[in-house]
Amino acid sequence: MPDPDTQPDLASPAQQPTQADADARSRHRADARSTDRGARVGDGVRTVGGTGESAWGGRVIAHLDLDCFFAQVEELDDPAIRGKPVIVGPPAPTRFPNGRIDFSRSGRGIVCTSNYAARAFGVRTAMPATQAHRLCPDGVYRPCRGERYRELSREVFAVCEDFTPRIRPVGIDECYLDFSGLARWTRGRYPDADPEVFAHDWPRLLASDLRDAIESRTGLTASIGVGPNRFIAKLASDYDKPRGLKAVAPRDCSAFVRGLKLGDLRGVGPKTRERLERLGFRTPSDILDLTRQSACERLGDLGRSIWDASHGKDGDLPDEREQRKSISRDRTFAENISCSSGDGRREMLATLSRLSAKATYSLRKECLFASSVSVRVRFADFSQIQHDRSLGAEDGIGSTDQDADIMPVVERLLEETLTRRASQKQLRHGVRLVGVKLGGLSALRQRQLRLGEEEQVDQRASVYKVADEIRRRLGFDALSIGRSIESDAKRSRHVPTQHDASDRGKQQVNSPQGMDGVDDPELWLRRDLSDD
Amino acid sequence: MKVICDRAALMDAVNLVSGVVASRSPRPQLTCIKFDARKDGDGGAGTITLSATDAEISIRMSSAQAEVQKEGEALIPADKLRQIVSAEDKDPTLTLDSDGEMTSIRGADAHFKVYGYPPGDFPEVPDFPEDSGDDSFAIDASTLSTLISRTTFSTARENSRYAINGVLMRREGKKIEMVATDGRRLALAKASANEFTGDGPSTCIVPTKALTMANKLLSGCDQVRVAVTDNQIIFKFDDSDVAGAGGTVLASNLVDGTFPPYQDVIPKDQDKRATFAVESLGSAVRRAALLTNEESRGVRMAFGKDTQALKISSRAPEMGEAEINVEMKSFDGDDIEIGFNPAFITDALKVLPGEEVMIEMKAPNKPGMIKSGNDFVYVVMPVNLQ
Repeated sequence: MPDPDTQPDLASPAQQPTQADADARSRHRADARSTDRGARVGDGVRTVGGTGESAWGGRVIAHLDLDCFFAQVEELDDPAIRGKPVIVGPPAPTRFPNGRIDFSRSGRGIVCTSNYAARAFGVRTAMPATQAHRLCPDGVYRPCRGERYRELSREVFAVCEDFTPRIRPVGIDECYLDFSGLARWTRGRYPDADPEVFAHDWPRLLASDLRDAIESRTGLTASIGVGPNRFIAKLASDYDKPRGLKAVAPRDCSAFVRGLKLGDLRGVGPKTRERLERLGFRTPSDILDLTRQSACERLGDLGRSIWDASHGKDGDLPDEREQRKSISRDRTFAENISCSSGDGRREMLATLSRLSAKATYSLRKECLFASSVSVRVRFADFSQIQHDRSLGAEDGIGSTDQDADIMPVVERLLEETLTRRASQKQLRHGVRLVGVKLGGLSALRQRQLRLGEEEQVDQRASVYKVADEIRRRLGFDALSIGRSIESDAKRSRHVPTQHDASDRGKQQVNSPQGMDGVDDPELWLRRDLSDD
Repeated sequence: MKVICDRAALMDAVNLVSGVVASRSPRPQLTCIKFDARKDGDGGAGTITLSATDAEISIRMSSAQAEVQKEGEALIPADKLRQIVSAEDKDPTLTLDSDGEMTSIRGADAHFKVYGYPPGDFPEVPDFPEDSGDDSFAIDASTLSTLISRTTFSTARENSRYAINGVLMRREGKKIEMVATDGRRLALAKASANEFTGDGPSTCIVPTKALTMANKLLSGCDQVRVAVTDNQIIFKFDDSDVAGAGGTVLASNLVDGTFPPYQDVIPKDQDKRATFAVESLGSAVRRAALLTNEESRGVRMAFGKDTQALKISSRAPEMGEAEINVEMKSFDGDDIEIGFNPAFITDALKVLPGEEVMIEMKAPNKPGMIKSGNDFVYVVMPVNLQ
């Protein structure tokens, strides 16, 4: 499928640098210079051939991809398993007394990531647990530790920020970076390099410094590709994994792409490849041999974007995230939750409370307010009910960024979903996933005050401010809201946290009492109804 | 049981009692209306009595506009009965003839058979406790109706705090107060009873649905008697001629719970007062509300001391904005700008027809108060506009 994001600049005619561009770049340089440099000057300079400044005249975009990220983190945290096949996601196989694997107990997890040793056995991402157990029965199986991965991911992005302020994460383990205009700054790190060689090679040097800095600061290896646009940068980072490093100057792009297979190209999945092959395009060269005009005519946007990118056309970072329409958080339970038991409902509610706290934490970070809430319940048969409600008229809330406002609505939506909307069959199956979605986002805030709360409004906002600051420093889980404790307790049973505690010296600040007041939606009514 | 009913009178009665019939219930009898036909002792036409309940609220009303040919009882599913009675619009009369659980309804050219349940299974509607020494009072129907309509609009809907889903009724001697709140606003209405029994102040929380139902039964009635027992409130509508009925009783369970201390939230130190004609303020707020939306629900009200005018403005992103100027009858205090949910204001103004209202305020983050005479106080929290 053609991807309009691939080349956001294609529509514009010539790439004349504008004054605004120049300003942006000088700002960019100043920002980059003012930050800590953290990387060491090391790798020698290798001549790839080049004729000076023109080698990288326009944009320089890098793509950074952490190698087998989750598996790598597991190896990092537990040296004993280094080099063994590591599979993150499903539990280890259960065996019969005779040593054979009991596949009926393999569960329904899927492989999140496997390291290269496991990939040698054929274990791939998104493979069901049973298949992984069959292919690699003696591998090291580890559960996903999202918080730990996020923590390291944040550290990696922080290292990136020492190199360029223009970073666009596109997932937990990869990001695009804008290296444009950093040649002079890089020059400062390599004062003795041959000018001609440097002019061609500086993006590779910078990428290599970045890779080394990440390695020395976090112990993680990454592959980095550099090119004039994202299309080339991504192909370059995939080129030589793991710990790959590849910079493709604009004029080398065409040759680089010609050396790849059609299926390697971004935007060319199995279906598209089949279609292209039917049309007689078997290699990237078949497309690049066309004129731009006929590439457009024969293959539409896809042809045009591949042709342009492969001819070294300037690109940009992915667009700043478009204005958000909603924020969702959901969670799949390790085991299906029974709908009929009080415990089951309490656990769902506790989980929703935690998810609401997370979603509103994101809202506050982005200075947005939500005016609608929906609750999603997915049953074990994968059928799903989503139930929404506007925070407007009936609740009189208007819009909010506080989970204390949202929870009463979430509670009601869950109750209505389970009592009125779900069929008996769905209820019998049990619940597999619950989620919260906040919609109607706006930077505009109108908050309907409640009776008796005028003094408490500021107080509550300041409690949120303090809580957010604690979470910013110590991670989201540093604080828990009273009503989500059940979910936290349950979670900690599935998620080993010894690494967090010992390695990071992280403080666990659980203060349910302190937050309870914040969490109580009806501050005014609380004291009168406590005896109910 | 066999009765010949005036169709119009039957339809009125069935529509009224249907208001309390349970729509779904594990006890299917509760989805029915119970008919009880009795001949008069003096050989007159006789009366039929219709009863219905949803286990919380129950109602019993009688109608003399029927000719009882054979005494007896019947349980008829309410929704089918209502549909049949309203569809058989060619006939001035309908004949209801029941035998055990089955009732046949005959019009001029139609014959319906409807299966019900054994009449003995139906719960009794409580009688009004005459002279039992319970807490009770009599009040003008129009007064009670005003109390109800001035409060029920402020009750919470489906709130998990059940107490505020109902209306607090407090009586001390002849003085009666009713209070409703949804946590964002509070309405307090006062009136006097005609006569009462029972000492000391008494309070109870009445479900909103019971009051709405009572309000329907009040039209065409002069005086109502109200009794409060431990767990029930019972209304007896005297001289009722609703659907030609000879007397109607409505009983409801009370809401169990503690009502928030409403006196605490009624502000005592408001220092800005504006008076308006209800109609002009209501119209201005309604018009300003046209340019509000989900995202931007509040209207900004700027009270000017020098101009003696109120400027109401609203703004909805990507839609537009409105500004309405309203003349104030008087304004006392400093300039103030405060935001309100326009619906909260118009809700209150709707129940104050043709009167003058006073809005009292203190600060943009403090409650506003709408007053009308000494009998109505409405506290409304502002919208925090940024």
